[in-house]
Amino acid sequence: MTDPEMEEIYESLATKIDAVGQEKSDIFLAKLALLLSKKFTDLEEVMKCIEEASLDLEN
Amino acid sequence: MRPHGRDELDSLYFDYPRYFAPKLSKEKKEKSIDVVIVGAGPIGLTAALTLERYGISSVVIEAKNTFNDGSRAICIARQSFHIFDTLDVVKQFNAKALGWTKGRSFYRGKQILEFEMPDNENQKYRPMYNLEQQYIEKFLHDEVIKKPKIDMRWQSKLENIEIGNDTATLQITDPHNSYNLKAKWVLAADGANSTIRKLLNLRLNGENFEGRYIIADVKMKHDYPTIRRALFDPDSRRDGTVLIHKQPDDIWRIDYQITEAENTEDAIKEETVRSSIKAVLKDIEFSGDWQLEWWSNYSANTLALDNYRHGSVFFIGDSAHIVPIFGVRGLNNGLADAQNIGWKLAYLLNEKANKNLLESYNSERRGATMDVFANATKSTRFMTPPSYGWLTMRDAALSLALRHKFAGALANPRQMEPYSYAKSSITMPDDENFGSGPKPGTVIENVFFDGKFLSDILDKGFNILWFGEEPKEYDLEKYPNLICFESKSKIGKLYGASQNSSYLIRPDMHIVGRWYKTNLSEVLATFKNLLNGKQL
Repeated sequence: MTDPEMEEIYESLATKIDAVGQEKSDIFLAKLALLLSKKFTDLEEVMKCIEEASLDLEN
Repeated sequence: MRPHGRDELDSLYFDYPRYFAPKLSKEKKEKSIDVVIVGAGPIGLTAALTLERYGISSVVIEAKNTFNDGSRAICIARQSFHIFDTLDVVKQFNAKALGWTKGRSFYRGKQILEFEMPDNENQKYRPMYNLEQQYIEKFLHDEVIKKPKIDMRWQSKLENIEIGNDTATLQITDPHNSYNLKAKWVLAADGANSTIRKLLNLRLNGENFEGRYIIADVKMKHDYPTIRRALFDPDSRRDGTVLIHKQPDDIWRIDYQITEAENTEDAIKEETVRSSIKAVLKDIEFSGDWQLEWWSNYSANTLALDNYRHGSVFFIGDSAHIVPIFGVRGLNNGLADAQNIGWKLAYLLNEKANKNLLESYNSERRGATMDVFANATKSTRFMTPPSYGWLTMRDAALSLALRHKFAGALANPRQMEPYSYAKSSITMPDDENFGSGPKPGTVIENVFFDGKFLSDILDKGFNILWFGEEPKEYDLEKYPNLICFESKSKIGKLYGASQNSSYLIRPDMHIVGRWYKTNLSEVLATFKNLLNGKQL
């Protein structure tokens, strides 16, 4: 994915989170994570992504 | 605003001079002139000096009696230094301004990104410089008063204006009297609250963004290089953004976002500003003494006139367009406006070009503003996310950026490159035989060779780069300055040239067109068409 493509994804996610609303945004993002995971063939890679996404969340 | 007990012009580092209105003879008052420039800010003074360079006289009128204390631009881009270079003032700027190439972004106190702006040995100037606007105006004004062709009139207020297609009558009042000034052309450089715009009933159109900021200058001995710092969600401002810039004279610019919980009225109070700054200084681990110099509030807008020309009046700078601070284009685009209309008007008034050439001013410079608007929406959304969705994505990108480069790219502020006039009617379509080199519409790529820069050998008018044998006869009076190189030279290689390649360059360093294989008469025919304002 190129930088401009990543930017397009970023923008469309922001718009969609606003469209589904703050309350439903968790479930929306969880569904998206499952859909994207299904595109992978390697379980290890998805597990690694899950681990990485959980880092640096502390305030 | 200034701290309690200090006068509006009582600065910690700058002595504001006071200027007076000239005592004008009857003859001088009634004399018709070619160009009157309204506003002696950086844009108006640059326009006057540009015209003077081509032998054109102007009168500059300014309502105030000293340099600006309202607008506070600090970032000067490389191309603006090139403009100052052509006006013979760059030495003063170089001596005082702080050049920089780097920016750092922090998320909750941790550095997540360091970006580097393009710079190399072929560049005469750094990508960006910081300098307080008062100095920018002073250095330009010091040059203006050396020029007999520029008639600088302080404390001279525009009361009314009547305009035709290439005539204007301006009613001016100064402390001595009131008089009518007749001119062919008017350059409205009178800033964001332009009087001319109001007198002509013109409106700026566009968008206002959500984010509100306090913009403050602080004097302190802080040991940190000239690197632009952006603090996202720092301890001092949860959910807010802070920007920090170093300026000369131990002055630091601190811009911080006013959060949702604060109202502007409270945020702008001196005590609130002081405690907010104190918290920011704790974030950057500065514990020494500091003094508050000045502050103001600000919110991001993208506003512009629908047309930068109105009969004999051309709008240049903030009178024509208001842009958000994040792209550092307010001052820089204004300077480019002044240079653009400056050379075009001069060519017309010197009877070297036809009026059609002026048509390109609006399309080129308004195009540059629209380009800023397109990027401004993106950078403003990142700096001050307008909704939950944008905030969530912004924080996700910032959090990922701690370990992932791709996410850092999303946080990269779009630093300015000069706008390309590729679509302008006076820019040629590209010659697709070129495999490399700068394209038509863009600013030339500077090159360092034989101990000098390409920009140093350009004439103030048009220039032709010719990659081939020097012609035996060439009329320098009539035609552009001709600079010959071998196609195998360093410049030839960087410009993708073959034998008999050529580039035609405008007075503002933008490329009109390029030919991979040509003869000089073809290049000269294009030059003539351009001055006649013909579509190229």
